[in-house]
Amino acid sequence: MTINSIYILNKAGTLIYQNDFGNTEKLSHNSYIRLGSTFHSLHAIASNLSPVSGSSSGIEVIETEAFKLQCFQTHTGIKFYVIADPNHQQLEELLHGVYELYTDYVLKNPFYEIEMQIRCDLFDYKLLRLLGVRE
Amino acid sequence: MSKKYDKLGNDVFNKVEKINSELFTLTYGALVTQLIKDYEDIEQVNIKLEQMGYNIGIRLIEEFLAKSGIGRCSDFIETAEVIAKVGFKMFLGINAHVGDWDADRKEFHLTIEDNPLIDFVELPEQYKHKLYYSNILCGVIRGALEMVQMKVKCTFVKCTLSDDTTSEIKVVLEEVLSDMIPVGYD
Amino acid sequence: MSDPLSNPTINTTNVGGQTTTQNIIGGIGSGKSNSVGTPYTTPLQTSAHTAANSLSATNSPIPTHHMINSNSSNNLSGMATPGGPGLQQQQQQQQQSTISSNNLGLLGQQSQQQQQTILSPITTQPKSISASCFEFFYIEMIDCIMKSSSDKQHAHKKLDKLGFKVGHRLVERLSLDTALFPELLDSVKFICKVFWAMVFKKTIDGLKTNHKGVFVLTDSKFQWLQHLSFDSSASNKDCSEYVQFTAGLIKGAMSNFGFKCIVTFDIQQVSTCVFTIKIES
Repeated sequence: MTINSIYILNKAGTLIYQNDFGNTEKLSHNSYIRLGSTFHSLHAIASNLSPVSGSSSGIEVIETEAFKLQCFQTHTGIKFYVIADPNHQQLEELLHGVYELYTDYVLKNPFYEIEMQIRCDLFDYKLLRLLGVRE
Repeated sequence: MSKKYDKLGNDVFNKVEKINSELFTLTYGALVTQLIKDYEDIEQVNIKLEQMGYNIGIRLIEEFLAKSGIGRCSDFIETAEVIAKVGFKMFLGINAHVGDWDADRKEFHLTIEDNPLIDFVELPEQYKHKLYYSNILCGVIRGALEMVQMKVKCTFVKCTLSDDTTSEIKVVLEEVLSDMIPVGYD
Repeated sequence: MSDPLSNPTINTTNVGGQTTTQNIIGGIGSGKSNSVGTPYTTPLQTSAHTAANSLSATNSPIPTHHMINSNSSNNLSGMATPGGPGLQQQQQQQQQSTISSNNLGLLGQQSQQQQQTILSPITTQPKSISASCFEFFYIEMIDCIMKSSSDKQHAHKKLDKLGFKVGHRLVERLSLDTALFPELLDSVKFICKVFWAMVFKKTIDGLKTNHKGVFVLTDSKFQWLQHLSFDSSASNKDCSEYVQFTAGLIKGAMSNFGFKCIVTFDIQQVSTCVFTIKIES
């Protein structure tokens, strides 16, 4: 069960973390930022499109033949989303695991400035380990 | 509702990694002493402690949400219960009680029992009713709630260190930051 | 909680070219110190109230049985003794086991027994808080001290002092139920085991000495660096401010045992911290 990419967007919809795994094709840094903000907008539009007002949570899952995208939004407005194999079943748990790693290895890292780009090698390492276990 | 959160608070506290509170108590005491030395003006110390709490709160809220798995509160009354029963329990291992609601349900008092911060502390006379020794807690609540789109004001109204019978924090909801609420939420 | 009894692996390499090596922690029965077992107590708190300048300490919330039972003149003996004759017996048993052995290896056991005692309903439970709570506070405290100091050196000095105060007082509370350690080695072992276990929930992984007043303590998984990391491309990877406080803690603890010392430290890769204690005569 391949995990292709993980994205984290801050409250404002700015990409603060992105990483590809396996043999996913790499894009330019700017493309990732653009992808991130596009998803943020789509998410907002989707929740407004709901026929029942105020009841939509925005995009939770996008399923295609080639991939599956699963999104988890925290109460504070941070979005974690993962792009994976379409048959992957445990993406929700995975995203919660990423959220916990974020609280431990990003927010408890005194060198991390809140809302900014995540550049913490321990977080990268723990994330790889988390994915290793799941795959 | 309160019972449900009592249980959740206990469950989460049992789950998290814990340490002996004395290290925390003594370190906090040493810091407050240092601040008094640095600032001289007690009011400045209160402000500084509150600010430090705020900085803690904006980070700590994510851990709170991630580890308690709590859903969105339907109203401020529920928020108050969650702070008292889950928040205080999960981080400090203690219970707090909600009371003294105003008519609009926008203001309540949080009574704190067994506050580990004030263990072994006796406030010298000249600081009584001036220094809010545990003011950091007010900041934590303000910071954490702001991250879930509630602007509140927290103040110590009573403190056992100043010879009051209880320690109480007044929490006032000033504004719900509705434009900050993530899409998909009411 | 990590068991203070478990003996960490000890490197007995020499520091400073001495020929004899000695296994320092753990070799039960090999030491000949009588300081641990003897139930005499010199009140450690005498300096407690002077150490706390504006915030004064009050008595421990944990009733200290050893104290009450011994012929100590400590001010705690004035407290109401919790429990009845059953407890007395328990205390005696504890003391016997303490006396019968005279190595620090037993110190851990003693504190473990004490924990069991604490768990019984007649005594107050030691309070716990979540480790994250302390961690978030610690980050903010360091930030506050760094920002309020004119330069890094000044900040380190402040952190060292803060640590000293806390270490001094922590030892007071910890050693309420053990005897004072007049011997240097016992004091250092106490720091490696009981003190470290209380603060970091683990014991020191390695202790070396040159038997001339220099001790090298290695913690290969230093708790306060566990969540800390850098951008892999960062040029400045200094995080000594997050360890300086600990050097102060050790110094404060040692001073409470009556030893003046200098503590330096070195941060090595993968969160290994090496502390060097140099005793000043």
